[in-house]
Order: sequence, then C-alpha cells, then structure tokens
Amino acid sequence: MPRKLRLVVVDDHALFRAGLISLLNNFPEFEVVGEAEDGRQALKVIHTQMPDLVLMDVNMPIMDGVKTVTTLRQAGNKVPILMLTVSQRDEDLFGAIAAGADGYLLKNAEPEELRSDIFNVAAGKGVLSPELTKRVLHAVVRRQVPATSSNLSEREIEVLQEMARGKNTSAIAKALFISENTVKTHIRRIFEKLDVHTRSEAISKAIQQNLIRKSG
Amino acid sequence: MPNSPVRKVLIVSSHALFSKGLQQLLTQHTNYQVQIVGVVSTLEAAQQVMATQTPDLTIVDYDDEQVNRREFIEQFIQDEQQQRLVLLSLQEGGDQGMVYERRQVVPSQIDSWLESWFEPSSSKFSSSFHPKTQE
Repeated sequence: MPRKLRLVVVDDHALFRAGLISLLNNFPEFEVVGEAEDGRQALKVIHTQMPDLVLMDVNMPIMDGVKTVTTLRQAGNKVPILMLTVSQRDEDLFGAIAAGADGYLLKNAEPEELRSDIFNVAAGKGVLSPELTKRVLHAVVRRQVPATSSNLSEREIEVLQEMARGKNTSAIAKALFISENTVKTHIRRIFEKLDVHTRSEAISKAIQQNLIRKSG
Repeated sequence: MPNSPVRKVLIVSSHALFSKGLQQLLTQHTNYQVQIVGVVSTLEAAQQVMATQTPDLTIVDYDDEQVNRREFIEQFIQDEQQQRLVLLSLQEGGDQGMVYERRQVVPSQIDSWLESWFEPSSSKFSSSFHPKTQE
C-alpha cells in the first residue's frame, strides 16, 4: 500500500476544522498530522510536521492565509498548499495565487472533489474552483491585451468600455465610483496612448484592437 | 447511550464540506444519539424541514445570499415549539456565533427562570458578574 499523504489543516472555525478532519479520515489515502487555527500556529505545525500538503483557510485572525503562504514561500518552503475558503473576493483569490498557493477551492466543494484536488495539488498540478476559473481567465486576458497593444491600464479600459456604452463623463464617474475629474484624466491618457483626439475615435480604435467589446 | 433521547438536528449550510463534516461529527458522537433530519442549503428548504420534522436543534451557517441571517431569526421567533438554534458563519470570524433557545413556559416557570437569573449564587457566571465578592 502506498504511503499516506500527510496533511495539515489550517482554519479558524473549530467546528469546520473538526468536520473536515473527520471527512478526510474517511479516505484511507490521507492522514491528518496536524491542525492550526491561525497562520502563526500553522507555521509552527508545518515546520514540525513537514506535511505533504497543507489545506489553508484565507480569512483567519493573527495571520491570514495569504500572509502565511507568503511567509512560507519566502522561507523557501515548497510544501503544496491548497487554499480552502468561502471567499470569492478578487484580492483573496489573486493574492493567494500571487503568494504561491497551488490551488484555490471553495468550501461548497463536495468531499470527493476535495479528495481529487488534494491528489492533483500533491502531484504538482494547480487546481481552481470551477466558479473562479472564468474570473482568472478574464484577468489574464485583461492584463495581457494592454501590454501587447496600447498599454492601457485596467481602469482606462473600464472607462473606455463605459464610453462605448454612450455614457458621458458624469455617468462614467457614477458607474465606476470615481470623480469626474478622475474620469477626465483617464480620458486624456486614453487619447494620448491611442493617439486619438475624440471619444468616437478612441472607441473605434479600442474595438479594432479588441481592447473592449462593442456595446450591444 | 441507548437510553439517551434521540436528538433531531437540522443542518443549514451551502458549504458541503461544512455540512457533511458536521453531519459526520454529530452522528459519530458516542455520548448521545443524533438523528439528522435534514441537510439543506437554502432558507426555503430549511423552513420546510423545520415545519415538518420539528428538529430539536438547528445549526445554521448563514452566508446572507442563500441563507439570510435576519430572515432566519425572524422566522425562528415566530414559531413556538421548543427548539435550539445555533447561528454561525464561515464567512465571518471563527470566534463569532449566536445561540437561541425557544421554549414555552407557564407563568410559574417564568418566575423561577427570572429568580435564577437574579440570584447570583445560582449562576455559574456569578463570579464574573460580581467581581467585588472576590476581593
């Protein structure tokens, strides 16, 4: 029989942690060798137990999951880490990925899905909840397109998209929760970067370069 | 354990790893018998089970999208049969939660309930509420 995967579970919800460990113990391939309720505890447990994989919550007191992953990676620790969270916030998702997490799974996953994802992460693959995949793909595209064409920022593209919907400066400011002066600054920079002089030219060029979608 | 009453429990959560883990924890407990009368993920489904199965305890992991905390409490205080309710949220800190107990009593029970509250010696929290007595 192959060696069991040694896991550490990190989550501040005691009831969730206990239930998760109970579920993991159903699988003969896993052995939970440690648990922690915050990032600082986790660093100690991981250092002591040297697990094969860590299941880590994002939002925790004292030291959150992203900070814990960052600390581990900066220390040269390469243990596979699967974030297990309810948070679908961009800053948590992208923060965890940027910090060096190997997977990001939501707690609405089924136990069998978790089992499969643990094996994948332990084997060096990345995993992502299906609900979040599209968001990551969009982010990749939005970061790449300006870099390869006109160097527009994400915010400038958002302003352009609102312009293409026919909104004036005031409406764009309201839609993006920024001041009208800020909108005007964005528009001036858009004109410079696209080398255009009018809004309609900017919209037309942005559509040609696939920077924005045609407004339906 | 064989003589202990069977406690009926309803679990409300849209997070499968939480609800299934909790279900397993409760049913494996050796000190009491638990019957899980439902594991549901929405307020509507919870209300249906509460009306038909009358659980002794309902554990709610609210997320305010599928299970709204305020709506759940409003529903809870409208009914009358004896029941305990635990409200917690995986989205909020792990150290936060609320418990409620709903039961009908006759007037004399209200008196004794109030007496036990006013009488410091009957409360296990009395030392916390009366720090001077410890000086």
